Amino acid sequence: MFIQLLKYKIIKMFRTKDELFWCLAFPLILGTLFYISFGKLSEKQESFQCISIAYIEDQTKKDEQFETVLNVLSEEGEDQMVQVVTNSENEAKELLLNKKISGIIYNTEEISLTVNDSGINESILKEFLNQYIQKRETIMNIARSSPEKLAQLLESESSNNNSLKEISFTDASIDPMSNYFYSLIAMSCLYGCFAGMSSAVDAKANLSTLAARRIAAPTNKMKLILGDFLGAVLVQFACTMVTLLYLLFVLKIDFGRKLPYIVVTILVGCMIGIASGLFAGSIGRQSEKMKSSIILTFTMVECFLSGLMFGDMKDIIEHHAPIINRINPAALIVDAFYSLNIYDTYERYTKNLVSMLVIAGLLCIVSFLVIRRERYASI
Amino acid sequence: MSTPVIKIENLVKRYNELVALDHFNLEIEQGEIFGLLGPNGSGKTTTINCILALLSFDKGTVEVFGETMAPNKYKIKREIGIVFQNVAVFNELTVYENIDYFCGLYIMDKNTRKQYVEEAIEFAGLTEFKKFYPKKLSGGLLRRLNIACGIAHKPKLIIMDEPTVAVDPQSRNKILEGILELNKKGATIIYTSHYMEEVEQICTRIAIMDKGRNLAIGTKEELKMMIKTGETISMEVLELENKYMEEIRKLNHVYQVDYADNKLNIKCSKGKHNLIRILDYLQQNQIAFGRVYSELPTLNDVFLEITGKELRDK
Repeated sequence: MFIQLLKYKIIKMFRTKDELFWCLAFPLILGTLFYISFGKLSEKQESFQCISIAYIEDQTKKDEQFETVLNVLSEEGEDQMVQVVTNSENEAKELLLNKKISGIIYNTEEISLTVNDSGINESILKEFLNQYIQKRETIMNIARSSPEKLAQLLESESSNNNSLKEISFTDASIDPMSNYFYSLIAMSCLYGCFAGMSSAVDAKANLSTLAARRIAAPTNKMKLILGDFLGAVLVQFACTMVTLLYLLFVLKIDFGRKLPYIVVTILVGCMIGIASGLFAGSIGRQSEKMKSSIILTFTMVECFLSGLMFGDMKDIIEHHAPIINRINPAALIVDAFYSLNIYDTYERYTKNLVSMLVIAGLLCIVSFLVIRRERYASI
Repeated sequence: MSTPVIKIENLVKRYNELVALDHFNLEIEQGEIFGLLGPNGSGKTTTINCILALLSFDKGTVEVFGETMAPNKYKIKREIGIVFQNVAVFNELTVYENIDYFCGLYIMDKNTRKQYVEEAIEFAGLTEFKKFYPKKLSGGLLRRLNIACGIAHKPKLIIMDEPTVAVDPQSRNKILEGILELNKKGATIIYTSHYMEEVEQICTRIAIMDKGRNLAIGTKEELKMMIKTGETISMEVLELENKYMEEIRKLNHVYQVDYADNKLNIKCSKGKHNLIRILDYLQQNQIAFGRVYSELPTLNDVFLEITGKELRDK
């Protein structure tokens, strides 16, 4: 009988167009939209072009050091940062006005920058000049006060050239956009709530005649619910796996190399999604439509807090209210993916997985206690 | 005497202030087609839900097949088939799959189930529609599917809660014939309906309930015996003076006389030769009359007289 219940739950789910849309089509559509948007963003980042500038200096007092720096930055190649277009002030002003150059660097009494706009190029130039002036002052101060340490300082400066770089504890690459796709998978898992909710509605005689017919049969309620739960988990898992495979092999999103662990996370994520739906369906006597709206809103809020719409959201929550990240299923799923990709150890990943299992277990127990009620006061 | 299939004693069910069942008693014997008649809100569905152990109640006992009914009495539940008033099938499953699903809740063996499902499809006349989804079925076919889902496992007791609501006459006849067939095969049937003629046509015993109480119970003949009306005589009379009406009212066994729109209606209590007596009187007084009808009391008269209201609440 259990197999029969399982079989028909799976058939029913695959034939329910609404559920299929939310569980399969919607994540695929959203993933594609993410990919298109982020793709444009990274193209923009990758196609950085050198900044055109004008350099005006006092002809009577040449600054050879700054000229050397400018020459290095103007060297043709991948790393070329600036291109000095002119040294004539009049021409420079005209070019700036026509936006042909991003700024004019004056090196007269002191080094200054004139810009006609605010943008990335202007910010880069400003930052570059600030750093140059700051370092030049430091070197000159040390040269004046402790000339014997000058060589040491220059050596230290040249070795510290690369400053900071983000590195991973594993050999996986860290894409700042990955978080969006982690949240997308979390959302796909949690959309199992719809199937969970319909399972609960179909098991409460006071919510539907269909449930009354099922309850009137000589079948243990636990068996009914378990059959529905397992069927829903399997279908939801299959849908989410399709989303994952699409992201991995079609959109080429990097999920790291620990694929089996990702699959386990998705499975547990689906369980928690369906358990949430089971819980929402079992409490209260609202209509199925009303319950669907509530659970959809709740799931979207969970996903928002995990970074689906704004990538840094999870970090903001971690800073201000970390408890939310500990109990938000979407955040737990996202963090499990993140920790798999970042850490070589599985401590944080296991913690997330255990938390998800505990939440899913609690939701299932409460739901069953509510549903297993023997007789109803009214139908 | 054999154990009754259903025995309800002093059943009380309250919904806050409203008393849905008020010390309700009922006994149904094996092999009966038992009609439960009552206006909307009289407590028919509540009674059914109590029999099925879906609903809690405040007082009383419900025994099915000689055992107190409870939600975990799976052995008893296995012998009950239920056809609810609302169609309760899965829209995502085909006709065959729906029947197979519900039959599967009762019958474990795959081969037996397959045979039972085929028989139920045949019984409900759904052979051509096996692969149809419920949304593609007409109202009548949908009702037949609802019935097939409830009886596929060959239960000994079938409870049908208004199974012919919104069904065309052809489908209704098919359903009624089916019920008689199931009964012939040994099933005891509880049948609730708003349609008096259906109940009169198929039920062996009938209970009339109102406000959660059992007002009368018996065969249709027994019920008709319980009321005052024995015969209703109607005729066309072009003109009738009041004095004649008074005199007709004084005739033996006549207890009600109405005259309106050239139609004379006379209700008589039980007694012989009422029609002859009235026609003699009219001829003696040279009162011209046209078409004459004489009707014995119907179940509707019984219901009206007992409950004081129309059964089909509009």
